[in-house]
Amino acid sequence: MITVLCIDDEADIRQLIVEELKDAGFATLEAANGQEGLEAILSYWPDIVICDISMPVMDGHQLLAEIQLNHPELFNIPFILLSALTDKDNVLTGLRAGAADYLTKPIDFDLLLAKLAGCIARLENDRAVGRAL
Amino acid sequence: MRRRKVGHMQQNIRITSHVTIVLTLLTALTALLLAGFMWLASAKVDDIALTRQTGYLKQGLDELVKAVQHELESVTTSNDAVLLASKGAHQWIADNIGTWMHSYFNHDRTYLFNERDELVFAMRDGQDIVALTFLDDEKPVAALRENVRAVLHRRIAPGDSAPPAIAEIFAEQILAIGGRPAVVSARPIVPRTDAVSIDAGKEFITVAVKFLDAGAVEKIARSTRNETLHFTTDPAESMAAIPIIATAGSTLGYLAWQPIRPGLMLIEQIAPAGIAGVAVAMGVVIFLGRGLRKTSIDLSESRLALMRHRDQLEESVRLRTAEIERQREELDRLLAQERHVNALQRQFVTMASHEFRTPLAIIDAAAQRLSRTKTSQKPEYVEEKSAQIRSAVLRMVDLMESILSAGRLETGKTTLKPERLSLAELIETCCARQTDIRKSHRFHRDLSHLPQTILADRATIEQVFTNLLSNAVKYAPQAPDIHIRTWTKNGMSYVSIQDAGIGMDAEDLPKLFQPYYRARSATGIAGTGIGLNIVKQIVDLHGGSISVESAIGQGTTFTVALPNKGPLANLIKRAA
Repeated sequence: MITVLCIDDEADIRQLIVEELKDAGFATLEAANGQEGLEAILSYWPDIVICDISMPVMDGHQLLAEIQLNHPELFNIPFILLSALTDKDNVLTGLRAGAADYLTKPIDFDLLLAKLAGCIARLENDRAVGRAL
Repeated sequence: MRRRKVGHMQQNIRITSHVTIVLTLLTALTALLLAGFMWLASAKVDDIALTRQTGYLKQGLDELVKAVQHELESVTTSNDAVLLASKGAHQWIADNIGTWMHSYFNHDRTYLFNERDELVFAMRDGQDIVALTFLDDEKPVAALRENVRAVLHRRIAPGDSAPPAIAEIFAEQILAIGGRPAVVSARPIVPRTDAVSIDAGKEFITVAVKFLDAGAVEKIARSTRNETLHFTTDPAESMAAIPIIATAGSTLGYLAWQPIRPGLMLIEQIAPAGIAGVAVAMGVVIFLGRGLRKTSIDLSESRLALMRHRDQLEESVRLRTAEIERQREELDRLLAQERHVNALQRQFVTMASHEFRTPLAIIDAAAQRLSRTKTSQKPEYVEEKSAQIRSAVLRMVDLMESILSAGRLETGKTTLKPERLSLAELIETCCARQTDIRKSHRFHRDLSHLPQTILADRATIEQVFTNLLSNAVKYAPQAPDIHIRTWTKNGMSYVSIQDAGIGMDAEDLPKLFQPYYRARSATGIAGTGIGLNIVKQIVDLHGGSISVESAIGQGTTFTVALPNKGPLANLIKRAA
């Protein structure tokens, strides 16, 4: 089963996303900010991370940078940034930092699920190739 | 520097004064030296002149004495004289001997003695003395006559080997007669030719007296043009004099005269011109000196004026430069401020967008959830989604209200409608709303110290507490306890809202109530930066105040004070 970690400081949003993911057959983890998210990633090693940007304590950009800098082994985990910030600066910053994708709120669940499916296909392909090698 | 130059110039002026004084002194000194030289020269000239005068007069006196013999000879050497004298021709003797001796040769007295040495003729001062007498001159006259007679006797006495020729017999003596110097001379009357002969020892003898203080000296005075020449026995100090020395060797007196001093006369003549010249020269020097001094002063003054002008110019340039610099700084400051406001506004737009999108996302997601799961919906589930949607809508309404309020406050269109309201109830309501929106935090309320009611505008005061409470929640994500305390003091109701959240840096506090400003510690937390500005303006409109205490990591306490009796009249007017 694919495990998705959902990081968002808005409890309502987090809950709605998690509900949708569970309905779609994913195992889910939750975190309320970047710091909690990092702890969850280190503890559970999720397959995919869905992450908000504007969050207290540690925001999405900071979390990505932290992983790239101090936890390179986790950098392979696909990061999908999901933010209400729609300006180009934030999009570019996120993608340059290694995010797999950048989605904006309000959330289109179909779009989110499609992106997740794409990521999973790539992951499985990588794993299959890895096994074959 | 200026003072030094002024001193320098004053020194210049002093120097010009000194130059004038020195030049004046030099001129005076030169004049004095010139006068001294002239004095010396004139003295020398006068000396020379005196020597020459003395020489002339001595020579004149000598010649006068020497001439006596020839004068006497010229009247006594004649054939007629021998013949007519021996015959006693009185008139002839008077005419040819007495008058001649007196008139032509200036002899004062003439005596004629016969062969027996009897006085046969006498003339005094041109007067024929008929009653033959002597005055005070008998002794010297007799002595001279005896001298001549003695020589004549030697001619006839045997034994004398070389007796003098008769024509050469002459006796003369300078002596004083009656206190007057005189030349007394004697000579026998002798024939000129051999045609007449005299018996030896029978000669007539002429004796003449010539006073040196009378006509003779007057003649010298005339011939030497020395008008002041006169005889004196005691010449004054200022007079020049030559002595008259008797044959016996004693000094009989002096011929004295006022010495002629050509040098002194010259000086006397040119002195006024010289003094005038010196005065003029000194006048010219002083005039030039004053002119120099005036020029120097003028120059100094113009230089001073120039320096003052330059200083003023420098000063005005400096002031102008400072003014330009100040204006530039002001422009820079305004530009920076403008840029800052622009940046804040851009940030506001971004954040406002974010703030709207977040509740929208909740509403949208909840709606999607409802539509996707419609086959297996339980009433509780629908209830939950509806609550989420309503909460999100509330947030959006608050947000919209904030933004609209900000706009109204900014344009001064807010009108307060004060009413009697219970602040405690109002805070309760706001807390409940917050709890509706986010259930994560707990509000610990102590509202018992507030008055029953206060006079305030309900809508805006609600906004104040909604903002402060939502901030307390938002900026204390990991500290769920929020304390609300109240007290009353001096007619004011105080409400403090304390969180234990992220806090703020002291530097951020003064700017906290500026529009769009967000503390640096708020990075990563969504917010528009207008909330506290609105709070501040509303509290101010009510005549109240708001203060904040905070420290990084220590949480934040906002304290609002509102007047119990409502906004002051002037504040209502201002709001209108």
